[in-house]
Amino acid sequence: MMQELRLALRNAGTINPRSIDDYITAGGYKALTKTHNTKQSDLIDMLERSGRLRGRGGAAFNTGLKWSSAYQAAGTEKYIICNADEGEPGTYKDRTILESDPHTVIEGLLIGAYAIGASNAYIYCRGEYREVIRLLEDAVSQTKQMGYCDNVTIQIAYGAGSYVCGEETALIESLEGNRGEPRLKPPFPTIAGFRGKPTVVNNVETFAVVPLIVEQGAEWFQSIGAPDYPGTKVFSLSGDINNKGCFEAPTNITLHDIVYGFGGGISEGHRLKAVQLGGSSCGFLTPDMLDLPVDVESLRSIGSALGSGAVLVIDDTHNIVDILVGIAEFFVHESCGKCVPCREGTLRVMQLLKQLAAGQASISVQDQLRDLSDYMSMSCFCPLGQSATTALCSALDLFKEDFSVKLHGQEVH
Amino acid sequence: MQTKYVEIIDKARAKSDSLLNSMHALQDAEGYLTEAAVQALAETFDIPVSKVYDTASFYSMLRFTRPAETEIQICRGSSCHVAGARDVIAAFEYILDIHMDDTTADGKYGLYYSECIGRCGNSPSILVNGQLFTEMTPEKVYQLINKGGRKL
Repeated sequence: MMQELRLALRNAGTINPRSIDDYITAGGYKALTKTHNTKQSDLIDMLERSGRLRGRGGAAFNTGLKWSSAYQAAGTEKYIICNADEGEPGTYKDRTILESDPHTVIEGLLIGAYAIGASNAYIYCRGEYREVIRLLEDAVSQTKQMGYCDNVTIQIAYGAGSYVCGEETALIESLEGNRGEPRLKPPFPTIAGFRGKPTVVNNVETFAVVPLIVEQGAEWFQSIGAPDYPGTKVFSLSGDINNKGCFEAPTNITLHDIVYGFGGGISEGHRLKAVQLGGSSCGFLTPDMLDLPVDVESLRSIGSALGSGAVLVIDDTHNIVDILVGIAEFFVHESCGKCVPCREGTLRVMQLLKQLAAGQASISVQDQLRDLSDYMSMSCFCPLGQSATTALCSALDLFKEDFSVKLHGQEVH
Repeated sequence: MQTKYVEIIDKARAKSDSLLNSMHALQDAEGYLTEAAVQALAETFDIPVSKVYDTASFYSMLRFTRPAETEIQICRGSSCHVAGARDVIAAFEYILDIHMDDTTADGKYGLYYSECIGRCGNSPSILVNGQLFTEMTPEKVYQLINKGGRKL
């Protein structure tokens, strides 16, 4: 079985997160000092070509590419933002990283600021994580006192309960003091982002590994995990599984090792029914699909995605339709209302699923749900609406029995 | 503009110029965004009052009415759902005799959903006036409410 390998979580549990001295003793802020003696273009090149660090927030976009686009963009006023608006249900990796080692994220952010030439940095942290916000504010003032911030100003900005603000353009809108409604792309934020200026937005986990790549080199990073998605990933385990918690492993780990190795399997007397990988906006996988490595390309081959690395384990005591109702309610609440297909579509999906769960749906409900999903994935403005029915569609394919049980009004357990 | 608002906003802005940070600070002070607080935000940020409402009304954590004395928020994330949040909700609804998104007649208890609070490893999770309670069960719900002095 594959062993845990901690990069983003390398200091978790071994240092006091409230002490910058602890972080420095553990080798912290060395990479930042090294960075300042490296040319910006060399630094970006290392990440972009050899390092191939891909975003850990869910979209898996090449981090170096974002940085080089913002670096090359015209103008001197540039921004870098750490996306700590972790709202994907089932995901708590960013909280774990920030709670156990805030300085690695701050160091990564400062390296990024240097690389693109930004003198203003923000950490946008979700409002629900009050303790994390306090910890970050303390950590940033320690960093400033020690003189590591140089000429970069770091601000901690609070979210206020909006899932869609995890999308980078919605996050930027929120940071500008507006409703968190996503923007039309292009232009991409690296060209015109915060206040219309070139802006890089990266996830907490992405920033957390940047200092290590700078220190140990691109070749070292490239040698870990899957070739197309090198490095490690932090997984958040939840649901009907024995060991719930966060753990970090190379990206070529299989789902089987995640569920039965680190997760310790499911409780005795029950059968694994499904794994929802990546959060509520991602599809389900059945037990026969677990031998695949979780890297982006392998999962894409079966039409799945790693997303945020949330692993929700579901056993045979659940009818998948009941879980879909919960997910549908979530999306109705989180739809920002900007575009009709999402605002109305999420509502209709929820109504149909609730009828189905109550055994009151018409026989054509599955066709209606599929039609709605098609319209939504084609016409919704942003990824929230486009992926609001991903879980539903995969369930329609994988768990036909559950639907038929609900349709005919009889529960099986 | 009242000086107390100016002080709160100045303190928040010293740390970050984000409008939401100031909104949080004002809400922390009074429990919700009062009309006077909204007015103060408009003046200090030099934006119309309508813009303050426009922004604040988008975010589920910000509100314009006084919250219940004890605000109970139940995580609506899928992990909590799988772990039995439904039963926890049913217990609260039964013992308080209200539905979700409602407040008891005496204004003492309010029952709401919250975003995924990121405690999926110890689900189902709830917040009571911001304080975290994890691995909730209907039994724990009864204990919690009884401790608050409410008799069945």
